[in-house]
Amino acid sequence: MKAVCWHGKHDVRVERVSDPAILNPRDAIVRVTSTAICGSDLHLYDGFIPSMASGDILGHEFMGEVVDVGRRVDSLRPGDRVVVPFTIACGACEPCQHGLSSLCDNSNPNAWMAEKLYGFSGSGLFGYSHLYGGYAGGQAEFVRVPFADVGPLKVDGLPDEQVLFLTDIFPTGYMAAENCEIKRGDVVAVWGCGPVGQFAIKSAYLLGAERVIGIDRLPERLRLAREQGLAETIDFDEEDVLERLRLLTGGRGPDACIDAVGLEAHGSGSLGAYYDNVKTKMFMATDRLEALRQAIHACKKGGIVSIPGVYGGYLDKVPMGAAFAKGLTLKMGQTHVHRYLRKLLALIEEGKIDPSFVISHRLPLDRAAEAYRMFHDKADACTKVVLRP
Amino acid sequence: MNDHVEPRRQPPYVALLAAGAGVAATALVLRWRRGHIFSADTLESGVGMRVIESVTINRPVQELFALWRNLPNVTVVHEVEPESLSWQSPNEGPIQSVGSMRLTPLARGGAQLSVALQYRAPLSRWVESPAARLREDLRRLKQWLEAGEEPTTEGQPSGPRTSTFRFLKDVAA
Repeated sequence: MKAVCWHGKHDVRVERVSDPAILNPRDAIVRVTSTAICGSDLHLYDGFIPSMASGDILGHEFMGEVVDVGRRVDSLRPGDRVVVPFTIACGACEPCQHGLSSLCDNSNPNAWMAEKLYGFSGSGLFGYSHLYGGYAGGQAEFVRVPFADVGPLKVDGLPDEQVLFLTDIFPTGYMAAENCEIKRGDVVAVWGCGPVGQFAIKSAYLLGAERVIGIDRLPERLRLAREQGLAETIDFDEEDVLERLRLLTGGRGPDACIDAVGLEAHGSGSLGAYYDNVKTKMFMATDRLEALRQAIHACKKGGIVSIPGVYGGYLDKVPMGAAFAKGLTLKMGQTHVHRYLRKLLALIEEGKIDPSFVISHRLPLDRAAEAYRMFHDKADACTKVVLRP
Repeated sequence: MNDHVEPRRQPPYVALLAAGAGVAATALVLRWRRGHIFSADTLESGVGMRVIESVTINRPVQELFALWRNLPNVTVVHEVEPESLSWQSPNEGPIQSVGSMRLTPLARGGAQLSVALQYRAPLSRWVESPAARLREDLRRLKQWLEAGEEPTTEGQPSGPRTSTFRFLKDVAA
């Protein structure tokens, strides 16, 4: 089959590889009909995530048709059309039984590796480094899905583009908003108006926010946040974000701040952004965290900072004093996709949201290398690429 | 054979968990993996190795005790059902060991399992850390009991690998 393989920084190639096979009794094989490039794939593309190996198959947002199932998979049969959560979860351990599927105890074959770095291991992920299990991803014609009796959700009737993002970015934006514990009258600020930020904006309104403010620098993303998300926007290249947020909130600060940027923040010529840039370039730091610094600084007293953006290492110059002084709550982590699938599918079926609004480009899988480059460079107003095998 | 009951596949951890026994302890110390290596001289010069590990398994203590009670190749020295068990390896074999385990039921559900092993192993080669081995064995036990299988990527497709990657995989295997 054809698959998108990682070969190093800014080097992905579509290659011929062997077809996947059932390896465990709870596996299924899915023929991929649509797959997307995630903003977090760009962290791999940029070489920010450790433990990638040349030849790794990328992709954790994918859906398709079941073509084979292992002997312990009773809930699926060949021909079923499914979306597959990017987190791999057994469904039986304590985290899984408490709805924390991205923290599954039993799905990472390389748990020892994550334990060395993080103390404990989260769940395995598709196509997201050996630290997270080394599973082959779904930017391919076929993919093996472990624990297929608990992960995949059957979808009928809706086109691929409306349900594909149930695999990651829609639940991720939704969980980010849910973590804000939104109450009537709340103002929520969202750093980063990429796809996750867009879903966080929409979800914040769905969960009852009175106002949502989107922060970015790319005109097409700010426009999308205004027109589709009905958010107010701040262009951080043009305005002082902290000052603007204070003015917009009557001096209170947003009740909740969402960092939908993560470890490759660009910043805005601030001292902090400059500092991160120099340090990461000299391999003296792992993450660029200007968005997180701003979110902590801007958040109102007693507020919540919700972090769906990915961080990987040891963060330098985190304004912990500000977080402490203001009594902030920080919430973060990989998305527990499994627990949101049915709820969010229902929102799509009821017509409350059509997730396809984030798509800017549709390309065949063969052109994946070009798609990665374009998404990385934000060329041609690229917001989200869907690939068709 | 007069019936067709499929023999219950014995998960690999069972052999390893009988780490009191010679065969298992050999497996425990012979493997060279993951950078936890030290010289066997350490074993020979000391008074023997002692390793302790603990894991939480989302299964009832009775089930876990029964599983442990039926491990092959060990001699049970003492048991208090369903909370503790001590065993030793048979006298033959190059590796002598004693071990004990304790099960604590948890109000949150499941049980906490603690295992201690003490043994001597006259080996004159590089070996893996027994503590890391025991930890991986208990992880595998948890995976089999909770998920019913061991997560793996062995046999999945990939693009061309570098020689370094293939070397590291060979070493790990």
